[in-house]
Amino acid sequence: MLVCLLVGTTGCAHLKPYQRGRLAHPTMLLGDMARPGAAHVYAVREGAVGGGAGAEGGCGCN
Amino acid sequence: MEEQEPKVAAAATERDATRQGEASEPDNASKGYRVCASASAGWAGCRSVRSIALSLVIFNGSALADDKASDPGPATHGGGIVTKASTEATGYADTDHVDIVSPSISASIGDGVAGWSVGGHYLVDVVSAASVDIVSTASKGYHEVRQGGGADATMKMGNLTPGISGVLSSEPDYLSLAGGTTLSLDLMEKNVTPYLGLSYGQDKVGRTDLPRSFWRDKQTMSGQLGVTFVIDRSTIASLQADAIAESGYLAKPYRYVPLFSSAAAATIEPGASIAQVNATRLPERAAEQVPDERHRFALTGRIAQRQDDATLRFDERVYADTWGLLASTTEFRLLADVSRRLTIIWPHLRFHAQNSVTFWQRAYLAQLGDNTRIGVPVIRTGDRELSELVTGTAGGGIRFKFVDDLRQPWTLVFEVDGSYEHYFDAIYISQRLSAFSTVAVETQF
Repeated sequence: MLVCLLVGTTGCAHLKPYQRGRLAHPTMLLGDMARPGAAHVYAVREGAVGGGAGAEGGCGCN
Repeated sequence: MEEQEPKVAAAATERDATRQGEASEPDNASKGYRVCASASAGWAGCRSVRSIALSLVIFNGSALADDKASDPGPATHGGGIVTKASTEATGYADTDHVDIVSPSISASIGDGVAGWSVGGHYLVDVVSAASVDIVSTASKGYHEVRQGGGADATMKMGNLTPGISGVLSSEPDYLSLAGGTTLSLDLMEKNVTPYLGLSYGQDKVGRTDLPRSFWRDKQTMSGQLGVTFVIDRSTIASLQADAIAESGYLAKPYRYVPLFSSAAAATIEPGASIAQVNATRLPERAAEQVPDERHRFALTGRIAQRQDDATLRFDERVYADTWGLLASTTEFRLLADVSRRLTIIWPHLRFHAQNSVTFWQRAYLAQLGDNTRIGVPVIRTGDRELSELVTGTAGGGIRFKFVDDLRQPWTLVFEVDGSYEHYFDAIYISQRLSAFSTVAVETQF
């Protein structure tokens, strides 16, 4: 988590809300893009799990 | 692959149902499908619930940013209560004779300005299977229905957004109940958003021919830590770590593992047919038995970049667990806006590769004792998803807004994917082709 925070706070631009137009596009959501059915298939057919959507910030503009 | 010494009288064996005339049970991949699906409810099962909540939060808030007129952006009311509803039908079919149809509905209501949302979903899985694992037990296949549903809620409180969710899944031989909580924190004017999630799931695993008092328990505890951060005006990324602790009964209750003498095992090649396996194996078969604890870890990175009229999306997940399984999953999507109404998802590519768990054996050896006893490996599995494999998926789709009304849009979604799986060290099949499609209609008002 510390690494994540360091990456997030040191390696990024600091944008104002009005500068985030492109980030607000609905295709820019960073959750798992697999719809529930597809996610279901992947979870069963692959031996690995993880990476599902959690509580996340998305475009950071809401 | 690590060879295991058979241990005499270490575990119960079951006489071959085919040869002994006992009722055989459907085993396998498709059973595995259903069981895994429910079993994953601890986290993966909540995915759809959380996705709905996530969509609400982000869609409702996106009106603040609009410095590019050509980006259609999500339809919003600029505040106030928004209700969303969708219905979806998915279909799956593969060359192993497994067919699944799964209709579902979902709905949510929320206020993007006030910062709250509540949602729910319900789905039905109709599974028809006559896969090679079932046929190998002399069973004709089965037809079964699974039902599942869930609900979630989030409430924004300053820079904090807590959320809760719950999901229930039920089928004739499986019951899963899970609940979780999430918390995200907006930092640096929302340029950095760390988040965490915790969930707990309790499953009951049984067989349709056993009373519920004989069903076994499985527990799943999940933790998730991550951060989403804005890289520049066009790029956003996230890094997420998952830790999942599973305990209890982790095997499949219908699955039996064929056993071989050492001489016969040497003749079993990857992809050996049912006939070859049945002609070679010993009459006894052992119920699948795996360790009763599994700790699973995943690290997932995601990056999305918006070009003029298209979004590039790249995901990478690396995975390891205490059963010795290592895996990498890579995914890429290009989403192009053809017009204000039409977005094309093309291509969608996914590649997954993994090794086998440490106790995997293509042909488990049995040690013959006297007339009534036989030694078998304590830990044994027939689950080919625990073996070395690669999977490639390619597909695409469209999102078409057939009612382009800002206040009440209607959108049709169609996606289709084809997959190829290759198993390097499994019996019965060495490859599988499958197709998966989704048709959905979404609206809001």
